[in-house]
Amino acid sequence: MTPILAVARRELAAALESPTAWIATAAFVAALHGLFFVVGYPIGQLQLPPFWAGGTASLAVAFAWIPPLLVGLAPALAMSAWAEERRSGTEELLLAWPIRSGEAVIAKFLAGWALLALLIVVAIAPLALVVASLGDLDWGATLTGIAGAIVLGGACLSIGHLVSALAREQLEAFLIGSLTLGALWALGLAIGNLPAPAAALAHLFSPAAHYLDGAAVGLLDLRDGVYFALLTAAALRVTYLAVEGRRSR
Amino acid sequence: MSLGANKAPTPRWLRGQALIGAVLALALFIVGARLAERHLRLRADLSEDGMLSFSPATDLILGRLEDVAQLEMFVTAEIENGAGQLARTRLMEQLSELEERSGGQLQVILRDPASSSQARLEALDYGIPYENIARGGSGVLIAQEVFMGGVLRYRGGERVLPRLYPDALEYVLLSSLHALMQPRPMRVGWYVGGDDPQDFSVARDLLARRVEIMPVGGLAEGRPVPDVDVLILVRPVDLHPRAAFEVDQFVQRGGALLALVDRSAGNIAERRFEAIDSGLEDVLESWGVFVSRAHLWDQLGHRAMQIGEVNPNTGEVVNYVRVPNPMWINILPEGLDSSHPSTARLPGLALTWAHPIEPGEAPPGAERIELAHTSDRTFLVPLEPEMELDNDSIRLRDTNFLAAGGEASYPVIVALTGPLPSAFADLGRPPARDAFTGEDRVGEAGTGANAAPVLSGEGDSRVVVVGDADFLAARGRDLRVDPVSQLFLENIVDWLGAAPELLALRSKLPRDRSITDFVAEEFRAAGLSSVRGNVGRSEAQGPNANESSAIERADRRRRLHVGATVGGSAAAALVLALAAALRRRLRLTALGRTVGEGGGA
Repeated sequence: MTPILAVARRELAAALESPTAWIATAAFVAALHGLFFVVGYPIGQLQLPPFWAGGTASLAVAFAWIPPLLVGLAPALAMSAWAEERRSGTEELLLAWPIRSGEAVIAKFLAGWALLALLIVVAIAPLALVVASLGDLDWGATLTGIAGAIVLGGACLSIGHLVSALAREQLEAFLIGSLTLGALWALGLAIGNLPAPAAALAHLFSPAAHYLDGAAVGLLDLRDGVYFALLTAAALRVTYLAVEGRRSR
Repeated sequence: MSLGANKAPTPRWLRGQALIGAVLALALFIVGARLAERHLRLRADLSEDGMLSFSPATDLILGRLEDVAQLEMFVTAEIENGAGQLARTRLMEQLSELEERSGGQLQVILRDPASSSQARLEALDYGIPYENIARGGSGVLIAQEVFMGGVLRYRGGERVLPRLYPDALEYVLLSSLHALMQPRPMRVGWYVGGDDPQDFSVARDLLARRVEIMPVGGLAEGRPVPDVDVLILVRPVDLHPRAAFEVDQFVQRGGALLALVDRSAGNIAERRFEAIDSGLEDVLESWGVFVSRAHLWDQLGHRAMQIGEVNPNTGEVVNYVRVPNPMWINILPEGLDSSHPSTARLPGLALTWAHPIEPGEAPPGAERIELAHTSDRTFLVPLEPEMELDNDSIRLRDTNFLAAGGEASYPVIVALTGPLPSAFADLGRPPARDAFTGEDRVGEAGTGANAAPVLSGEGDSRVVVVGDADFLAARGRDLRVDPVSQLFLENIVDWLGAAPELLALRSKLPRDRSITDFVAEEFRAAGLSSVRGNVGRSEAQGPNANESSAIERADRRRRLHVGATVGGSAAAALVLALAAALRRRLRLTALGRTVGEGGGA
C-alpha cells in the first residue's frame, strides 16, 4: 500500500501545483453556481427551475448538473495522467520505479479522485451552507448527494484515465473522454423515449441515471454501489492492461 | 497465440492478451451490473422526508395481518414504452418488498391482460381501466393498452384498486388493506346545513371512497345521532335546540365531532353578506369555543379572486381581473401546528371568508389545541352587509388597516380533547320539533330541567371546530375541491376516528422547504402590502416607487447570497492553494538542508 500512497501523494501534489487543476476548479465552480442560480436544469424529463425562481431549499439543480459537468471535468483532470507522461517521456521513468503497473494505475487514479472530491466539496459545500441559511435544507439528501457525486466522479475519472492511457496526446484524451462520457450521459436522457428493452439497458448502463435516481435524492442503493464499483474497476483494469502492454514492450 | 517457454512475448501476443483482458473486464461489468440489478435489494433512504422508502406505519399494518391477504395484480407484463416499463419494474420491486416485509402474509398474484383475454375481461369487469401508452416513446403514435391495477382480498372482503402506480402504491394499497382489516369500515355521519348542500357533495364523495358515509337527519325531531365514529357538521344554520342537544349528547357519549362553522353567508356577485347563526353557539361556548362573526383580513397570507365587471347595457360579466383578496386566507405553513398529525405536514391551507375563534380556556380536564392560525398581520373586519371588493377598495382598506394598527394572529381551527361539559346540564333536554306541524312538542315527557339528567363531562371526547366551511365547497367549472383541503379533511377524520396508521401513511408529504422570501420581507419592512402567497399586485398597475425600491433591496440581498456562495468556494480553493504552496516550500527547504548537509560532509 505504501508505494501506492507515495505515488498518489506525488501525483496529487503535482496536480495541485499545476494550473490545470485551478483552471478546472474555477470553471467548474463558476459553471455550477451560475447554472444553479440563473439557469436551472431545463434538460430532459427532469426540468428544474433556477434556485431563486424555484424558491425551495434544495440542491437538486446542482446535483442534476453534476453528471453533464463531469463530462468536461473528469477528462480535463485525467487527460494528462498517462498521455502527457508518455508525450514528455516521463512514463518510462515512472514505470522504472520499483512499482508494478497496477499500483501505478491505482495511485494515479486515487490522486485524481482525491482532487476531484476536493473540487466537488469546494463547489457544493458553500452552496449548501448558503441554501441552508435561507430555508430548511434536507441535509440527509445533501450529504448523500455529495457522496454520490464523488463516487460518480470516480467512475468518470476512471474512464478518463482509460482514454488517457490509450490516447497519444492530452487533447485527444480529453476529446475522446468527453465524447465517451457525453454519450453515457445522453443515454440517461434518452430513457423516456426509447422502446422498453433499450430503455432498460440505457437505465442499467447510464451513470447519470444511477446517480440521479439514487444518491442525488438521498437514496443509497447497493445496486448503484455495485454498478459504480464495477464500472470503475473495469475501466481501471483496462487502463492497467494498456499500461502493462506498453511496459512489456 | 501460445507463447513458447523461451520466447519473449511478441507485441501481437501482448495486444491479444490486452484485448482479451479488456473484453473480460467489460463482460464482468455488464454481467455484474445486470445481476446486481436483478438480485440486490439493499437500500437506505437517508433523506429527511423519507419519500423513497416505506414508512413504519406500513410495517405496523402488515404486522397486524392475521390471515393471508391476496393482491391479484392485473398488470401488462411487457410494456413497450421505456418509461412505462421502468415504472412497472419499480412497482414490481415495491410489491416484492412488501411481500417480504409481510412475512408471507401478503401474496401478490400476477395476471397479464395483454397475453390472456380472460385476464383482460376480468380486469375490465372489475373496473380496472387501461391506459393507452405510446409504444416506442413519446414520439410514436401507435399506442399499447397498459393495465396497472389490482384487486385486494382479505378475509372475504374485496377492494378494487383501479390504478396502482409506484408513486402512490404505499398509501393506496395499505389504506385499502387497513380498511379490509377493520371489523367494519369507519362510519362518518354527514350533516349539511344551509341552502346549498350540493356545494359539499364532491368532498363527501371523495371521503366516501374510504369511509362509510351516513347521512344524518331528524335531529330536531329527537332522533339521536346514529352509531357513527365521527360526526361532521358542515355549515349548520339555525340548528334547532333539540338538534344541538343531540349533537352535544353524541359528544358527551365519547363521540368525535368536526364542526365547520360559518357565521356569515355571502353572495360575491352582489357583494352582500348576511349574518347567520349555527345554532351550536351555546354548545361550543360551554366548551370554551366562540366563533366570531367578524371576518379576517390577512395581509400576509391570502389568495387572489377573479372578479368581473357587469356591462350595464348587456348585463354580461366582462373584464375579469384577478384581485388579491386578504379575506381569502392562506394559512401559511408556519401557521399550522407542526406537532399535530393532522396539520404537521400540510403545505398550507386555503380558507374563504373565515371567522376567528376567540381565545378561550379549555374546560377543566380537557385540552385545547390551536391547529391553525392566521399570520400576525391579520385584522378583524366587522361583518358588513355590503362590501366593495374591487382592487381600489381593497388597497384603500389595506392602507387604512396599516395606519390604524392593531394587527394580530387569530386561531381559525381549534381541537378539544377530554371531558367537555354539556350546555344542557342545567337546562335539561329541550323539546323536539314535531315533524308534521313544525312546532315544538312543549311538555313532552323527559324534557325540561326537571327531566332525567343529561350526560355532561363524562366521555373522553374529541372535537375540532373550524371557523369556515366554504373551504370544502367544490369550485370552478370542473367542480373540484382543493386537494389540500380534502387532505386536511381526511387527516382530521382519521385523527378523530383514531386511525393513526392512516394519518402516518398520508402525512408522507415532503416537508415545506420554502426559502426566505426577500421581496415579502422588504415589503413588510417598508410597510407595504405584502405579495406573499400565490398572488401579486395587478400587473397593469406596475410597482410604484416604494415597491421598486423594496424589490431592488431584495435583489441586492439575493446578489449578496450568490456572492457569499462564490466567495466561499474561492476562499476554500485559496486555502487549498496556500496549503499546497506551503507544502512545496517546506519540501524545498528540507531538500536544501539535505543538500547543504551533504556538501558539509
